[in-house]
Amino acid sequence: MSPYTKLTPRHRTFGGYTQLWLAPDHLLLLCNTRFSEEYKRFSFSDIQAIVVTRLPSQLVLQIVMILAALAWMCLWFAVDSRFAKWAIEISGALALLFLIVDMARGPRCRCFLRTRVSGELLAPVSRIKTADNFVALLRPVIESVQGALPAEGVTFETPDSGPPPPDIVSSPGYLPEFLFATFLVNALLLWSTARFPKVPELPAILLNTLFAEFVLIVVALLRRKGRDARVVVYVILGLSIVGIGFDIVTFGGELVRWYMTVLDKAKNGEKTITPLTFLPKNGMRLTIAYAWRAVAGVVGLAAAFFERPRQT
Amino acid sequence: MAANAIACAACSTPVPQEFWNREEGVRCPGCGRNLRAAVFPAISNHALGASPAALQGETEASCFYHPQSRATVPCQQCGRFLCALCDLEVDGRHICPRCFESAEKVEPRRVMYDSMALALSTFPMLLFWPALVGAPWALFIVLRRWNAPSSIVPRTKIRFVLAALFALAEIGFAIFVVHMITQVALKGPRR
Repeated sequence: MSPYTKLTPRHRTFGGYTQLWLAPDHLLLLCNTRFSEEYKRFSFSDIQAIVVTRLPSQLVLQIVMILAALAWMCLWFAVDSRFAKWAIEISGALALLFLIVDMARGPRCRCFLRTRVSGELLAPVSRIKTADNFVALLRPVIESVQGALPAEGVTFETPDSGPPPPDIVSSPGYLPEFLFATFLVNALLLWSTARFPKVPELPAILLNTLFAEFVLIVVALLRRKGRDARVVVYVILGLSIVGIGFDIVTFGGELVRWYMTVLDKAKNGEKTITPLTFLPKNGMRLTIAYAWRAVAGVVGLAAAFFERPRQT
Repeated sequence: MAANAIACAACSTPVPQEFWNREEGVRCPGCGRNLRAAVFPAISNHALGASPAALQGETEASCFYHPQSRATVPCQQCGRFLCALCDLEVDGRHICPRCFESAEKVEPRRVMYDSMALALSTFPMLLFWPALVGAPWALFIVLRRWNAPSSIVPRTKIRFVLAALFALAEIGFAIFVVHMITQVALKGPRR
């Protein structure tokens, strides 16, 4: 007979799941990686603290996703094929169901368990409701072993520590340089779509490189802290976000125009294909798009080279 | 661990003592998010690593593992004298490192053979032909590992049962297909 009782539901990830179980004298964190399980045990006498912090609400994102799922389901009217209709409706309904369940589960939180030698993230405690039940269940058990913390608090002796260790200066890496090279490639591709409009492969390649550019900017800005002391490079990246925002607004307009055209054609019974373009061809917007990328790419690469700290 | 070890789970800002054990939750001084810190008396346990005392004279008993260090306690398992460094306190008993290693170990990890067998009997079916290898292999694992220790938390053998059923069905289907092909080959082409 197992001495364990379930404490939380499973927290599923792509590689497996984690779950918390309660034993008579310890807490068990079970990490399942599909074909094996790893166990971490925390004795009640060793647990110093459990900290639960509420995470920001994702209500706006959830509402946007619900509207996107409903817009997806409206494509029922835009396709002829019965299979496509049902595929769209079923996938949209599943997405809606997932979003509704996510909203019903309540606000998210993060929970850490502290011992003398470790701080463990308790991934199964990911919702406020679960955290409330978890702490309510665990506190009396721990206090039955350790007693309650005195109301007057505790005093700590500060150990006599020597001078702090020197800072480790990490290499800034070459991500900004790679990003500026991507700007140059995208500038060339955008110019090429205007110069050679009949080459169908160019928009397909552009889709991938523009997406890569967006992802690289986000990653570069997130990784900057503590790694890269360069300033001008990141000012250029920040200004590039304005340029990308301008392109996204233009692309958004093209997407809405394409969507309305498809709906109109569906109502009129037309079966011609309506191609989707990122930016209006032969327009000022396309010129701005490749011009700012070319300038940002050249200036950024130069700044990255001159600002890079020299090894002494 | 010092008081600053109690930190916000989101931004790692230290949580002051006056914010501990507040049922209604408090605002983190760093990120402003609502947090609750349940703190227990173990927070004041800050025992530092032990350093053994040196042997002062020949009449003093020395540690079995460190002859230059003074023994402070005998091992309650084997009786060897232990210095402060070698003394391991487990469930209130003082034991030496060697007895600790040979004691019944707490398993940190187990292999889930039932999940393995179920995966082998199902995923290869997606590509059809790999099931000819996957099904017998799954059946072998079921038979070989039926009594192997499973998870330490409650877990049924349903995965083993399903894996065996799927594997037998696949093997049976393969035999049927081979039989049909053989029958057609023996009858020869129709005239």
